[in-house]
Order: sequence, then structure tokens, then C-alpha cells
Amino acid sequence: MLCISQLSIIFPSFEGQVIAVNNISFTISHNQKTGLIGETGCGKTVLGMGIMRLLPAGTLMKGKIIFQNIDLTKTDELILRHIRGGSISMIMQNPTLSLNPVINIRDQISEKIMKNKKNIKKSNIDAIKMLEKAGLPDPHFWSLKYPHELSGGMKQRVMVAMALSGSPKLLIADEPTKSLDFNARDQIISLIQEVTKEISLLLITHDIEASEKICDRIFVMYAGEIVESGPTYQVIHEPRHPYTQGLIRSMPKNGLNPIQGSSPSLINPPSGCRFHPRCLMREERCEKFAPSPVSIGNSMVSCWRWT
Amino acid sequence: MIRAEHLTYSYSSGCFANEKIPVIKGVSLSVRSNESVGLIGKSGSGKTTIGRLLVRSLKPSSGTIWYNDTNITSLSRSQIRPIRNKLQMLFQDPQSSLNPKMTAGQSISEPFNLYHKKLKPGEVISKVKDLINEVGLSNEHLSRYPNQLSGGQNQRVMIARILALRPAFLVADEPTASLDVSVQAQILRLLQKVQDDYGMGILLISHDPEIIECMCSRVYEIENGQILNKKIF
Repeated sequence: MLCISQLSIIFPSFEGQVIAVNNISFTISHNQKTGLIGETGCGKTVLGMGIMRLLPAGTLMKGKIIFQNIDLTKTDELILRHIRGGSISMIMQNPTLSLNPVINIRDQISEKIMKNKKNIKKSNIDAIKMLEKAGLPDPHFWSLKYPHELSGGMKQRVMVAMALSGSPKLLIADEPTKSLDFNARDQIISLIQEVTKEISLLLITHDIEASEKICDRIFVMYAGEIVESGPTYQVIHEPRHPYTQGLIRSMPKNGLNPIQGSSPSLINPPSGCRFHPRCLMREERCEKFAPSPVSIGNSMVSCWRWT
Repeated sequence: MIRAEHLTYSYSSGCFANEKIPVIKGVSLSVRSNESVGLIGKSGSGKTTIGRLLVRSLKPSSGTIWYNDTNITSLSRSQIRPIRNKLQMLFQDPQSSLNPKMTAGQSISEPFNLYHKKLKPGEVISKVKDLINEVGLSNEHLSRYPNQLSGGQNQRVMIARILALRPAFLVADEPTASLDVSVQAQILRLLQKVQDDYGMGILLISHDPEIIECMCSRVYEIENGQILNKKIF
């Protein structure tokens, strides 16, 4: 369904080129739930925005993003407008900032449905149906409210309803559980599981537990590159890359053992393996040469220890 | 060290602020020196309001707050000023807590300029450098503005700024809610380290039970402004 091939996303800056996504390739097949995990600033959101072609003007994209036989990197804006919010929908990171504060919830959703139906009454009815599907309690009442009158969890449900209103084939959810309390987080996880039963999902998150509950397959990103991928259980319970192992050890239930140091600059990334300055298992060759991805069964890892 | 008895608090609402909405309803809790206590509950349950009452950035409607043997419930702003540095709060979003026009160095030196006016500029610079290194950053970060630092680095600057005041009690209000799992672990470990070094009492507000269980010896569960449950780990 979605095939990304050797994709690089580069932002020009005064200090040099920021290579936010570096030569990434992966596919998402029909009805597959894929998770993309990694630290802040590793390029997860940029990749999601790249698929939607919502990056700032001047951004350089190399490689291909093939969706239903269309290369999204080369498609013109008119076709992209039909794909965005239609075949591919995105739940943005911060629902408070993503919703328009001066338009009520119903009108924000029906505005999108209106594009196809051209009938305001039918669009309003459909908007309320979408809110009901997204699990918003008493949708007739709450649909007439403004974003500031809704809680974080309710706003996230509105975002889900809005994303589903175009009947997407692929849903990109960018940090849908961020800043939600425990109950709201669990509800949003269940909701995403429910609404993506028949569509594909790309879940961008640093909530490892959420990705474990929702996804079939997980990709781990570090400094713009995919360092490990595989079935969810294998990546989370038997991680192979030292970075993935570090992320899993950092979780509170595993004793809060952080990875030392911080993510590298994407303007002048470290030589060799980008993770080597923070890696507890680094060898001499890690500093000099970048490891190539190695397939092990239906998993992939980029680490010299597995070559 | 800090003890709250039957605290209540109501927000004013309505056109003429004549409507009172009770948000905290008779909360009693205590935090001792060198102890981490958790406060857990859903969004809107009153966790942050309790934190702000304990550091007296809000005045309770009724009830008593004791800091050691001093009743600080109704102290005026000038009366509370000498102990204000002892009661500190670490907020959820460090980016919006720091002044965007101040470098990290200026932000950390500000408390020294307010509470240790007799220090010479050279002494302040040396103390600021000690603090930035203590929280795991280097001297080069001192000249950076909040928008030039990551979320985790900004939270470290906030912790350094708090440590400049040598607090006895810290309310950490969801200090890692906007951080990723690895940086979250770094910041929580740093809080544990500075607590051991400074002997602070910490009230850790969170909605993640796993973080609370990892960090705290006791936890209060709050719902609708009331303590629902107390648990000792």
C-alpha cells in the first residue's frame, strides 16, 4: 500500500544541511499496524509530515514515497489535496494547537465532509456520526462546543473523528497519547485499535507501551535512520540493537536506566554508526564505518554486532 | 517538614467573580525531608492546585499549611519572602517556564541576584558553572536561549535554577510529561540524585503509576479534589 524507498528529507539552514531523515526504506501493507518509535528529534514526525507532503517550502526530498501507484514526492498539489484527508489522514501531535479555536467542533469536521457532499445539513449529520464513532459522549451536545471547552482526551477523539471523516486507507497518528492522563490514554489506545481494524496505521510515538498494544510491526529510529525493525514482540522483548535495548531499559517498569548522553546534531552527525558515542557495546569499527542493515528472519538490525 | 491539614480551595467564577467553585475539599498530607511522595490522579482532579497551595503560590480558602513549625497558611507576600526560596516548584513545560529572552546562564544566576545580593559577580559565575555541571550540562550551554535547547536540557536548566535556591521542599509537577522515555529516565534519575545531595522533600505529581512506584515511598491518590487512597510502597 505504502512503499517508501531510499527517502531522505533535508532542511537547509545557515549552519548547514539538516538531514532529518536519511535514506529510509520500508513498506506498510494493507491493514498493517506499524509503529515508529525513537527519541525526540530523531525524525519521526518529519517522516510523517513528509508522507503527507506538509513540509516547509525549500525542504529537499530524495527517494520515493509510492502510495497506490502514485509517487507522492513528485505529485502535484491538486492531487495531493485529494489524498490528504482522503486516502491518507493524519492525527497531529497537539490537538489543542491543531483545532481551530474559533470554530465549533461540528463545523470543523463538517467543513471537510462538505468538500464531497456539498450539502451542509447532511455534512453536519455525518460529522455527528463521526464523533459518535470516535466515542465522544453525547455528540449532539459536545459537537456545538469550542475546543477550549473540551478536555485533552475529548479533543483527541475529535481529531480521530476528523481523520476518519475522509474514509482513509492509511492513518498516520503522531503522538496521539502524549500528555493524556492514564485513563484517557487507555481510552485513546482502545479507540485507535477499534477504528483501524480495516485500515493501515502508522503510529508515531515514544510511548513504547502504546505501540506494543496497537502495532504488529515496529521500526526504531535514531538520528534520522531506522536502526531496527521487526515484529512488535521481538523488538520490545528481544531487542537486538543497543539503542532499542537502551530505550526499553529506560522505561519506569524496567528500572529507569537512561541512555547516557543526548541525540546528536543532524548537521554534523557522528562518523560511522551514529549511535556509537552513546553505545555501551561500541567497538573500534563502529566509530569508522556505518553498519549496513542485516536481515534476521523477518527482522532487520543495523549494528556491527550482528554482521 | 511540610504538612497540610484539611486544605480547601475554591476558584472564583462568573461575571463578577461571585461564584465559588470548590476544587480542593479537605486535603491533608505531609512530606518529610529527604522523602519522595507521589500525588496521582486524572487530569482536572486538583493535583496542580494542591502543589501550588503547598508552595503558597495560592492561598487556601481554609485549612492549615505547616512548614517545619511555622504556620505559613496566611502569611502575606512580604512575610513569606524569607522562606519562599525553600519552597519551590518544577513545572511540566520547561520551555514556557523559562524566560525566552534570558540565556540559561542568566536564568540560573537570577536567584543568586535576588537571594544572595552580597555575592560578587565572579562568585555568582562560578556558582552558576558548578550548578550547570551538577545537572549534567556543560559550560557551553550557559550562553544558549531556551529555544536553542531541547526539552530535557531546558528541564535541567530549571532544576539548576531551583538548586540555586537550596530548597527544602520541591513540588515536581509532571516534570517529564512532555519528554520521551530516555530523557524522562535521565530527569527522574537527576531528581533522585539532587534529592540525596540536598536532602529535599519532593512531592511528585504524575498521572503515571509506574513513575510514582519507581520514585516514591508513599502515594496519595486524588479524585475530585479529595484524597481517595493512600498507599505505602
